[in-house]
Amino acid sequence: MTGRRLPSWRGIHIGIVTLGLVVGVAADALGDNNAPTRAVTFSKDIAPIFQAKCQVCHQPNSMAPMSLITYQEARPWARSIRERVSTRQMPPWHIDRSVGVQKFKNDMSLTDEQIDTIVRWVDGGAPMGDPKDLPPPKPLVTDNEWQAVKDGLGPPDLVIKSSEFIMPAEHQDVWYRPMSDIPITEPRWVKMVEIRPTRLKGRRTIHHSIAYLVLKDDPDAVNTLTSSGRSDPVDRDDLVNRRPQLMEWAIGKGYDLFRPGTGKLILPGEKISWDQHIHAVGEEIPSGSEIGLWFYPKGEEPKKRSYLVGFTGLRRRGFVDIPPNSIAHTEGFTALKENAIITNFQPHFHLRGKAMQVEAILPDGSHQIISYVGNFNFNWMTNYVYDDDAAPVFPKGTIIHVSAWYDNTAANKNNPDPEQWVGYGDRTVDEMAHAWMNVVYLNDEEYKALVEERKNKAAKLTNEQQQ
Amino acid sequence: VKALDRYAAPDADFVLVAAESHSGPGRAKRAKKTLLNESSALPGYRGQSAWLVYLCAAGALAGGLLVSAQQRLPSEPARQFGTSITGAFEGWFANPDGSRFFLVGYLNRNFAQAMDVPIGANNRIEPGGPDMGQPTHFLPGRQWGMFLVPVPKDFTAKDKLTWTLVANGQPTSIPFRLHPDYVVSPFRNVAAKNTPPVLRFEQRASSFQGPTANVANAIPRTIASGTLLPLTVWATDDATYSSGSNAPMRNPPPAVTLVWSKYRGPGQVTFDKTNPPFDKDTAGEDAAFSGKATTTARFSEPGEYMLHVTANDYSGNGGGGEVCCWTTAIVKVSVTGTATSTVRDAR
Repeated sequence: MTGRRLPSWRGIHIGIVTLGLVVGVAADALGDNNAPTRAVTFSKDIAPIFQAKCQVCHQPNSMAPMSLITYQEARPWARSIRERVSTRQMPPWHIDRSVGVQKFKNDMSLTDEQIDTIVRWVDGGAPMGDPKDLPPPKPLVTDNEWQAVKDGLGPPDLVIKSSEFIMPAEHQDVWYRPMSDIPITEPRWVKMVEIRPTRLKGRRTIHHSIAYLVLKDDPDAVNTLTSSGRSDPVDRDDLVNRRPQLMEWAIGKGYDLFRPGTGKLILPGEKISWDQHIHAVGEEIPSGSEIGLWFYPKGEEPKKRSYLVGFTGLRRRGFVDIPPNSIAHTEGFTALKENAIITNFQPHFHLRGKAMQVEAILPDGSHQIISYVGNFNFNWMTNYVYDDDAAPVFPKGTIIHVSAWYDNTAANKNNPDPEQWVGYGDRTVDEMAHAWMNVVYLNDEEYKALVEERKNKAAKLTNEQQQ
Repeated sequence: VKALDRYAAPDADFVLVAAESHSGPGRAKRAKKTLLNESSALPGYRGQSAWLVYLCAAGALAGGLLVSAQQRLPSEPARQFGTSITGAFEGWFANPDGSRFFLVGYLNRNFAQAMDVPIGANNRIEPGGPDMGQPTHFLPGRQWGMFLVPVPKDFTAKDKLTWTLVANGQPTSIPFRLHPDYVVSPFRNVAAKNTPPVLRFEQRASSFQGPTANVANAIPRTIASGTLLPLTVWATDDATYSSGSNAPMRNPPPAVTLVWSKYRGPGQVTFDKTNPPFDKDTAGEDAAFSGKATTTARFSEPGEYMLHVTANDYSGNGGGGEVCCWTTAIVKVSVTGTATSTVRDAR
């Protein structure tokens, strides 16, 4: 080969670093205190970020595959860490930051500045720095800890366990449906719920776990105010025989924290009927599920119910058609028959899930995007809990439009076989799509008052920003 | 999904998965070993060039696959006719004797058009085919687990069979593989303790249970052209019901429902009832459900036919998405003589 030789990547890299140093020195000389004038080190810069955003999972005996407590533990994974955080796969907060609702109660994501710091640390050789700069260590959590405890919300008031199922090393998916009593002697309102596998290893096998409430005599617990097609007429007996979801948990999800003044009512004598979808992983693993319940204090009972609704992403119930080696799309429409606040968003797919958008089509024909997750990860069905002031409110007659995209190509790292056609089904190798969202209904007066309150807050904020 | 396993290789998991997808697990393991030996966690080490080579190779392979994708626009409307049929690989299972079967269904995207696609270039399973017992008559819509394909003894996890279908000029193809994520248990839902209906085609004859439809175990019948073939099925079932919430059924359907259809044959087949209801049968008193269902079949012309029957229990089509519990069987019919009958409604 003849001709001029192109500069090597290494040469370019050195050039960029040199340029950066020159600019840094120049900036420092000009008195810019924000300029990166020193090397980023684990001890001084990275450990505080890991403590704040990563170590809650990445510690010994926790669900994460590696600990990020010490430099020696973190250093071998430096390049993976760079890739995961710069693509925002980790921490598992995959909602698009440029679309829809942007204020959340449980935002675990890194700031742009934190990501930039981690990237510069890795690119700079991932040095440890001076151990004296390390922050004091944070206490370790126990394994398989409640996410709510990790987030500082305290332990549950009541924990109800299911029996366990021993999943063979190799077996088709199983749906395990035992029943559990709820040991209460008086009605209790629940303000927060969380489900977790009974064992840490169960986090590898249990894809989802739903706690259905077996009602005794409480038809108001059943959601009847959304519709995604023809609805059968219902009577009281029918409603009581239905089983509303107390909570849906899927791999990677945390808790459902209900909006203040709203919750779920549990009556003595009611039971939990579990639906646990278990997937074999090449090792025999026994596990069940348990649900933690956080109660409202007596005397502070809420006046409103929160209903968990799976807004469909399919036009035809039970049907998807995903050709091999393709990106596919489905969509579903659900009408709100009453004014409603939507308090969270949790996209649900199986292995080919890629992206989900939820938008509202208002009665006047206008539309508003609520949320969009563009890089869904099957292993992290994160629940995005909207901030109270940001939770969107819609008038009755609004259509909730769920768009779902699937990646059945080799580019999808979770895809077991991109050459397969994929249809609807309950197995992880089949597909489905819906958005789990908690809904609180408002009468016309409450709706108008809330809309007015939001307008006044927005106007006040605008005024403050202009002053 | 072995998510944690895929985390186990520091800084190599993208390459590892790409290699698994295109080269089989053995080669992927070798790639992983190479990477772990050669690479360190940071750029500038010896492994960086190897990493780039694998990355480029994976990209090139992915590109090739995308080019060969079976082209359909996302969210195309469901068509009544004029479009494709695709095979649907439900999975595979092993028998107690060590033999293994692929369980296969299909989706006929022509939702108002049953189609005949003869065995040959347009309906072939290779290698080893083209005829490996697949249907030539395709009902509209999704048909779950219609037939079994025996897995050759020397078949390994790296091997595959490919079913190619060309309908209305539009080709599709899918592989059958022994992938661990596609293991199915169609004879017993271990958690719900449900089993498929047991079918008999004569009262004291041997029974069928599970999706065992296979031309090798077809039930033989002979009939003269122009006459009706009586088809009687005796069924028993445990009448086990399970759903996500396990809420009681509002209006329970019959515990077992039948679907008769043409599977193969030169002419049209008309059933008196494609979904004959069951009458209570006292012969199977020990079972929670015991019934007898009868229909007749008329053939438009002489020849060799195969009829297919699916018996669903409470779990419904495709076991309600859980791939258990239904039973299938094939009746092989020799229709002799000359054509005399009139066909009203072919399925």
